[in-house]
Amino acid sequence: MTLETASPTPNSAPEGVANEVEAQDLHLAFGDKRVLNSFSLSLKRGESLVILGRSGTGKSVFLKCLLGLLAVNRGDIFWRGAELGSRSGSGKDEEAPRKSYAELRAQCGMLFQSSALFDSLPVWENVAFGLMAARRISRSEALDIAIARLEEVELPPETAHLFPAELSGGMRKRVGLARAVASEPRLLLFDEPTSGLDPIMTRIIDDLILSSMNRLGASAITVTHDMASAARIANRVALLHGGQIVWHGSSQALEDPQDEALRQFVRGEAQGPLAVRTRAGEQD
Amino acid sequence: MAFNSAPKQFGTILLGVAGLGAFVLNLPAAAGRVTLFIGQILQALAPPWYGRNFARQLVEIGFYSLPVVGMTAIFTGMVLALQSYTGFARFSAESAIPNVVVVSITRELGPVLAGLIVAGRVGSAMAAEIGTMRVTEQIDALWALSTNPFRYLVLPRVLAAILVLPLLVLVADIIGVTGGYFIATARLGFHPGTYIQNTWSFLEAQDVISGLVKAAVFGFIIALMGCYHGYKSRGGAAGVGTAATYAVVSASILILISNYLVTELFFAQ
Repeated sequence: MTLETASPTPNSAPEGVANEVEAQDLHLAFGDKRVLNSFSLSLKRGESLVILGRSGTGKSVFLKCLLGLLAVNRGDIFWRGAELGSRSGSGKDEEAPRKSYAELRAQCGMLFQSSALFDSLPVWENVAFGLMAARRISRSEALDIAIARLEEVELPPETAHLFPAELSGGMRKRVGLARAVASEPRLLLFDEPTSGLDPIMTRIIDDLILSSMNRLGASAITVTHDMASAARIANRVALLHGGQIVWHGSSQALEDPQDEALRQFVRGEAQGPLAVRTRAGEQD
Repeated sequence: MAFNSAPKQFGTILLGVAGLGAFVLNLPAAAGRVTLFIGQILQALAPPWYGRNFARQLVEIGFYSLPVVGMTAIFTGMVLALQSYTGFARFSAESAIPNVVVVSITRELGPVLAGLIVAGRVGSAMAAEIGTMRVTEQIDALWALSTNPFRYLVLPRVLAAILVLPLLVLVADIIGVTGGYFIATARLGFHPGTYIQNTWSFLEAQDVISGLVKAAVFGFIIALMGCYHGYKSRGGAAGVGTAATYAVVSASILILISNYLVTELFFAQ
């Protein structure tokens, strides 16, 4: 007997829809190390974009720049057509629409690489944290919503009163996911959502990500190294190398990559255009 | 031999001078960073307020510090009475012991010792907790969940420390003076009623008030250093450990410096 379950699939973004997010010519350096170097990328509304790239190429850094947790040295980020950030000293069009990062964060949910659950709070307070902060709802109402969200990520209600230290890695990721979608955001950011998980749990998390996106009608950017996950959850894939997007296209390209850099990454080949110098004169 | 070692010695001296120079140059930069941090705390004074966090910090800083502060105070009072007796007996001034004990405890030893003890216990814990939150992305998660970490984490700690330290010092004053009373009456032959009368008649409101003002200043310093070093920590577990060390060392040094400045403010002629 075989157990076949219908897995959700990503909604395809219709042609001609507006951008949810657009990054233009971002530059960011930590000391001498350039992390983002003329980085440009756009995400259509309702689209699921996966950013691939080697470790340390700035994928997670871009997500933090998008949320305003890191300030770029140069470049612009637009959310729903409005530029994000303060106007002071920009010397740009004063009439152009602008939005604050606070406005973006209020409509954005993020699953962090380490889950980033608050150790001192029980699971239900973690899940309902954003709701209680933004909507000032009562604790009993927040508990009810948290339990409902936990059930959506297939965690039993008893989990609500546990502390993060009592959870397994997969449960932590699911609680992190429940927290990210609790306030029903329109933009979801996933930073390595399946890192450190076994293939079965990876599949469960992928399905939960897709079902959450489809239910909310949200756009999503996912950073991952996991090719199988990327193929499952993405409409579109972008490859980041040397601080910029070197290739982007349909997720179907992952099956038979024609681009040399994408092929090297998908097949895990040591030699190719993605090799980087780790020391003077030495390629890894 | 001496000829060969001369350049080496010169190099060592240059290294020392370079280190001193780097320290001096870093000092204004560090002061600037702390000032900006204080600015962000002041901005966080606007609502929403997190009363639950504030109450938790009151208990954490105040209630859980009581045993260690009480122990420090009672033994300090006892030693002070004993030492004063052996010293004052040389010029027949034993009767001044109640006065010395109460003034020393309320003006100096109560606030300074309580401040240093709380800096060690609470300042390091704050730096470690906030530092761990920093390196595990919990601070980023707070921002992402539309919550200002200065309002949620830092402000409750700073306000609680400012409020609780004077209360702790008040308790330390009472326990310290009681320690002195206990030794003076049980070991040194003082009459209990006379000891209490001498203590009470010599004590001035300014002695206690100056100690409480010092305690509030120390509370601010302890929470500020704990939160600052925790918030700025980097580099995993080692970074958190370093942050905890810096929090205690910097708070202790600033407590001793500010103790002098507040004393000047109250008692300079």
